[in-house]
Amino acid sequence: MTSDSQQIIEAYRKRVAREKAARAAAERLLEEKTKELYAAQLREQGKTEEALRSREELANSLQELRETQSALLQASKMEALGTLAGGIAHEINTPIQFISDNLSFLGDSFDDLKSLVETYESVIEAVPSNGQLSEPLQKLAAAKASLDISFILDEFPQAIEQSVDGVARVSKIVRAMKSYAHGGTEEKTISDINATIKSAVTLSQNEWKHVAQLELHLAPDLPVIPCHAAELNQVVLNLLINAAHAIGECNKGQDGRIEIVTFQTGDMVQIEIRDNGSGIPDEIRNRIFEPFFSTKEVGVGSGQGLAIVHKIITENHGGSVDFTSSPDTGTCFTILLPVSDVFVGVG
Amino acid sequence: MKGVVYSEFLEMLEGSFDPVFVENLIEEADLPSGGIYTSVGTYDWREMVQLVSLLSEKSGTLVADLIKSFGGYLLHVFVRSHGQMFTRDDNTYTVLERLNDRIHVDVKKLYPDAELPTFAHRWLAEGQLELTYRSPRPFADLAEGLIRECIKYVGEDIAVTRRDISVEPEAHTVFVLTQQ
Repeated sequence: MTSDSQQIIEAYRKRVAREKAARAAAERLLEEKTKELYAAQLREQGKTEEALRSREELANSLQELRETQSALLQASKMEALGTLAGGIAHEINTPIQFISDNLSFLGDSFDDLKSLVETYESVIEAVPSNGQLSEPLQKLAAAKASLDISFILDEFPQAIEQSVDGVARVSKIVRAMKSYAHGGTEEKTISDINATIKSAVTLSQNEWKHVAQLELHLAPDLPVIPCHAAELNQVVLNLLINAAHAIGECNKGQDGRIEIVTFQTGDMVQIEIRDNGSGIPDEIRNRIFEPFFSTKEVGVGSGQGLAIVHKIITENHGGSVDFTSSPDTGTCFTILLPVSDVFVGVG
Repeated sequence: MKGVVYSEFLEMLEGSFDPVFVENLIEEADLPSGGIYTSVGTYDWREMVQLVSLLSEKSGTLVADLIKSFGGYLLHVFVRSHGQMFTRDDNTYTVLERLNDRIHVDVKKLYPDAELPTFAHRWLAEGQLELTYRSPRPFADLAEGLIRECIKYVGEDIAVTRRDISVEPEAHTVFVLTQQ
């Protein structure tokens, strides 16, 4: 082999060695870059997950904000309506009172007047018709005929009775309005919710006994809670009456059912009042707690029942009231009332 | 300086000189890298100066001319590797502009910390373009070689004048390309 050839071979050997070293360096770089890429990918993945979490939290916050906004709006509307209702109740109460008193007076006086008229008639009949008094007697007979006195005497008591009923109904609405406007001022007392419920069930028996069977599932170990017992009695009463009406609307016959359940959940007492009645239509779900809102016929509902329930539970007791409803299964109202720590387990 | 420049430089040498000459040159230059370059690595630009200076000494060609030749060689490398960028309607200006934009963007994608030369351009008049080269490395000759080869490649008649503003700490050279 010539010296030139050896030199060329040596040059190529060196070149191959350089290429090998370059390849090794390239592989090291590749590995380094791959690691960097992988680390970057992990970082990005973390960022993506964090972004998703943030997005979810943001959506939840937005939802909570909307709900709070809606609750505030509802509270503000109810407060305004409460003030208005209180004012109207006060203005109506006085004239209603004297109308009612006057109607009672007219009713009581009617019997005396009727008795007097009957005495006059008997005297008239006893007087000879062809004597000196024949002319005045003829005038009396004509006046009696023109007045249709027998119709008046028959209808008068019924008119008074209907008026008294009407005024009583107006008074009831006014009382309900006052109750809505001025509830929750007295001191709370420690009360047994189960006993309050039983009392309301008894009071309202006449309302539901013809349309439904009523079942009580009351937790025996339910804690006593500080509350306005009379108000809670009113709440249960209103919900029971509504339940009975809802069942009555769909003619359940023997299948009407009302169920009242109580139990403790965390630091709250939960009351559920369920019925298998007609349910609450979707279009009025947002309005049922508004004062004066009623789907019942004029004269049947005051539109105060659920508004009072809402006010008593949320404002006067710091609880919550909600409901689920469907036309197939009926309605379930759920009330949550806070249990003061001091009283947990005492009942 | 990116390793691809060194790889291409050695490739150019191997095309012009025999392997014994090239290997001896690398050995004699006594480079910190040992002449082991990968296209994706980064190497001190002074190695290029060492290689070119030694080549100049051995070949009797001026350093500036060698670097200009290498600039011209690089144009063809870029055209080969980025052929899809060019069309038949291209002129010197569009080719240079695309090379600058595309290649620099590609390099930055892979090496965000790469210190690349910049080419600012502005039209002085119709058919007269001013290109301002700035770089932390003294390779305005390489830019000139690339520009002149580009003009030849496109087949245009363009005169190039060059004015060196500074060499250190930053190379700052202004080229004016005038359509003839």
